[in-house]
Amino acid sequence: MDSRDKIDRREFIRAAAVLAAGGGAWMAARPDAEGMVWQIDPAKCIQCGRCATNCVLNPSAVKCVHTYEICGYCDLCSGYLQPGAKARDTGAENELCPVGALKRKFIEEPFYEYTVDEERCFGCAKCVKGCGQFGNGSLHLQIKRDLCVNCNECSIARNCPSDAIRRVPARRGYLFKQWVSGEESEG
Amino acid sequence: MDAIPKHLIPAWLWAVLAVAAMVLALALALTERRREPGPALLYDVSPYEAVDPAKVLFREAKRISLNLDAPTALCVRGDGTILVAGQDAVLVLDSSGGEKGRIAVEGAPDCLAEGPDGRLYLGMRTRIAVHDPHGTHLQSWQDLGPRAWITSIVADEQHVFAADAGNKVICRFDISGNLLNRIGERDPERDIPGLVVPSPYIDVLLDPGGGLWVVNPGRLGFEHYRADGSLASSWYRPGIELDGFSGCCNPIHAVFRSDASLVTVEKGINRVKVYSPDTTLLGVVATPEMIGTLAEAAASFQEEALVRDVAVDSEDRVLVLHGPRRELLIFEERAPKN
Amino acid sequence: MIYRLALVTLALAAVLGDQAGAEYRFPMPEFESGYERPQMEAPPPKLTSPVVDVALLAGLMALTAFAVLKLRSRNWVLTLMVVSLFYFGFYRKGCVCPVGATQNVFNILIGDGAPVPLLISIFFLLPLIFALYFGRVFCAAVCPLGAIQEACAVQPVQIPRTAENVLGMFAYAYLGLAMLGLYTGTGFLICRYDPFVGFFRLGGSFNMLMAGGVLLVIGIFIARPYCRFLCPYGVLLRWASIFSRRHASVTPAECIQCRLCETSCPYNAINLPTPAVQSEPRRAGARRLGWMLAAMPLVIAAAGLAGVLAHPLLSRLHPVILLAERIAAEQRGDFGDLTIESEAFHASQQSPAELYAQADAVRRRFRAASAAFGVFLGLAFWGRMVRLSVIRKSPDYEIDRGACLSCGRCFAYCPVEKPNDVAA
Repeated sequence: MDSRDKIDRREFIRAAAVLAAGGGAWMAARPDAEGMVWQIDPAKCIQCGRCATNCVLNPSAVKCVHTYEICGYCDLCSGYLQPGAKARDTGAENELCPVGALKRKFIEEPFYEYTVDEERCFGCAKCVKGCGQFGNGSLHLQIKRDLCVNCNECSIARNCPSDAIRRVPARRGYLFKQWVSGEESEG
Repeated sequence: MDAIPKHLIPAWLWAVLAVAAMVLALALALTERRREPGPALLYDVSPYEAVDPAKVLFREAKRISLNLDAPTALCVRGDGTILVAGQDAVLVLDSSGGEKGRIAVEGAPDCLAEGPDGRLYLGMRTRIAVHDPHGTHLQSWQDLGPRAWITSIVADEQHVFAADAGNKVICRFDISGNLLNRIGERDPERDIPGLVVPSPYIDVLLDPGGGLWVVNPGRLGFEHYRADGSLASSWYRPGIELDGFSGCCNPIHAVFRSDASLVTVEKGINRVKVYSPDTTLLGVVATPEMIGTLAEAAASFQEEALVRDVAVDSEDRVLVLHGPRRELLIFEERAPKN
Repeated sequence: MIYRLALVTLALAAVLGDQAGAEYRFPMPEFESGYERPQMEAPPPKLTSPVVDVALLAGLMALTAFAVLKLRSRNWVLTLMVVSLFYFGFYRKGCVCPVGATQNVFNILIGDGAPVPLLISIFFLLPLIFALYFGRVFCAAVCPLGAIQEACAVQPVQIPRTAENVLGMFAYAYLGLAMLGLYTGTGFLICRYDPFVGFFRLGGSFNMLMAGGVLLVIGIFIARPYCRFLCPYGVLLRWASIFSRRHASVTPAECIQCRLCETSCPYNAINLPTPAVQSEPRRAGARRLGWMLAAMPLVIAAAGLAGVLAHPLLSRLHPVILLAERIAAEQRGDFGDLTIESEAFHASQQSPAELYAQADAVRRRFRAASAAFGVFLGLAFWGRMVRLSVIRKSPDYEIDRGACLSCGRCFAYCPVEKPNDVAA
């Protein structure tokens, strides 16, 4: 009888422990807590180049993206051409991108469209810096959701000197640079 | 059964090996470091920011601290007083920088000009606000539409010219505010290449002879127009070297001195230079080192250009409005070397 | 539960609902040629349903429990292990995992309190609950980190029990360090120094891949070094498993003391029978225990003090401390050039004084946390000493429920067959 009681008591304690832990987890986890993902705030990024070297993936899940709405479609694009480039043509020696991932297409006089070849881009931010320092900053870095493996601790975030990479709700998985018209901004 | 199997490596050695492997793994983990991005991945224009000191023809004569939020625009009046526009106010300074008063405005004017009659013209994004010489608001002219972004105004006896960066055009008004014509629109028949304005910077200026000049920032140069809108002449100088205009859209501001030499302000590589009337570079007014290098500007997240406006006073000194520092820098020409 | 999981899924699926970012007001050019700008591509994450993750975790653990307790089949355990190695390892790329989830859960209690999705807390809890009922079945076949090591352990040898006991303390230290990392805001150290995740992702830093390689190579002989000597989650599972309701046993029925299983366990998890004659009088043992109890406050105080003394060293794990040291050295003129960090700092609005103040605050946190870390380690050390000094009385070969990983190696060594009529 005694040992039987003892077993019952142990059983009770075990069940109680499971219930308490489960209940605690239930309470701790927010009912609406959603997945969090890592993302770059382009307003904080200083284009140090570490996104290219610190991602656990190779090539990095960080890519250059282009907000066309704020692009000037310039002929002399400082994100596309080497700073000292003499000619505006598309010769490789004039291209800024070390892997030729930024593509240029003539639209109409005097405008050119620039697109990022994501297969090649590895997130070094060289063009982002060129674009931002002279131009409108329409090129910027973002972590591509389809590539990122969403590590529990992002190794780029840990090494980001300007703390530009944070966890954001998956619902807002991208922090694009955006164009807002004058009326909207005042409203 | 009784014989304990003989191992090649004794158990204690396995223990030592285990400890060694653990220590090695921990040491590797704690010294973990990624290679820093190499020079091929870094964008560096600092070599172009260096200026030969012999080229610097001006020196900083004065630095005036401004009691004004977000200064945006600058003009020197005929009587020598200096007006600086900023958030909700236009600051009135005497020629030595002492504050004489301030004119209240709503919002922040993007640009500011004085007409020969002393009236003030303030660019309020899509329309021009006219104030009397004492600062009282008289009227607002017609709205130029939702895309409009007036970034520069000049006025002569009969006309007011406003540079609209959003619509990429110069609007010519008469002094009562009627829009007379639009200058600078692309017109292949009249050989007008069109203003290319990729960012909210375009300047309009009058030379000492009253001629109208317009910065064409996307083509990195200047265009000289007649009042009817026909193109008289133009010169473009793309290039990151000292005698050119760097980047995709420069210069952002310009002003003529009384001897018809032209002072230009660039963003990106923040330099102020002076060109002779025949468009050769005379020298440098302010170097990137004085105003702020690219690295400094980029790392402190200055979306807007550091230099917000430039003006010339009656003594031909160059006044440079530094936005983030909220300062007015006054440069005067060094005594010519004999 | 289903309802809540569905909610989580919905939230995960509704990517790109609203976006926010830097704003810019100047419009793009107007084109005459009818050019239309391309749309920005915002591909959503490749999502695995959390329901699938949880179902697989629970299902695999249940099957492992069945394989270990009922079927007593190592082959079944190995098969399940391969499944989980491919799903949780190579397919899910080692994330989500209960080992790392430990940090997210404890982060609520002692860290920055970031909300934890239900999936993460379920991943943390389920293996513990299973351990409370069936032993460490998670370690046996479901943990991808364990699986990759088990796959390499082809020629396991036994190391001396003393070495096993000493090295086992590393895991407590690692758990303590991970908690220290959470409390001080240093980061998720367990994930940062995960030695095998690089293999799952087929890439990673050179050092961590090397560390993983070293552990796998030594793991050919000294099986599962990470699980036994480092795994912080293993510490928690060990404690849960000690109180497990049912647990794998070497023999399905009565032990016949044949000694065949003696060398079967590479984890030293089979306790040998104690000799029938006590090696020392009962009184001597009692006295030793008395001394141990008396020494407890001393051990803890000494360990706590050691923790406080070690805090300047530990605090160098924190980036703010490193930056402050670097800036201070630069101001003394020790360095000619700048690092990326110091360059970013110089360009920021922050003054060195503010940085130093921030570093001091971090150091104070480290001071307190290091003391607690020391106390925890001292307690763990003391507990283990007590356990080792208490004389067990057992005539049979018995499994050490804490250390046993339920790998099933010993089953085949036992010649005893399961009697048909004996219930477990």
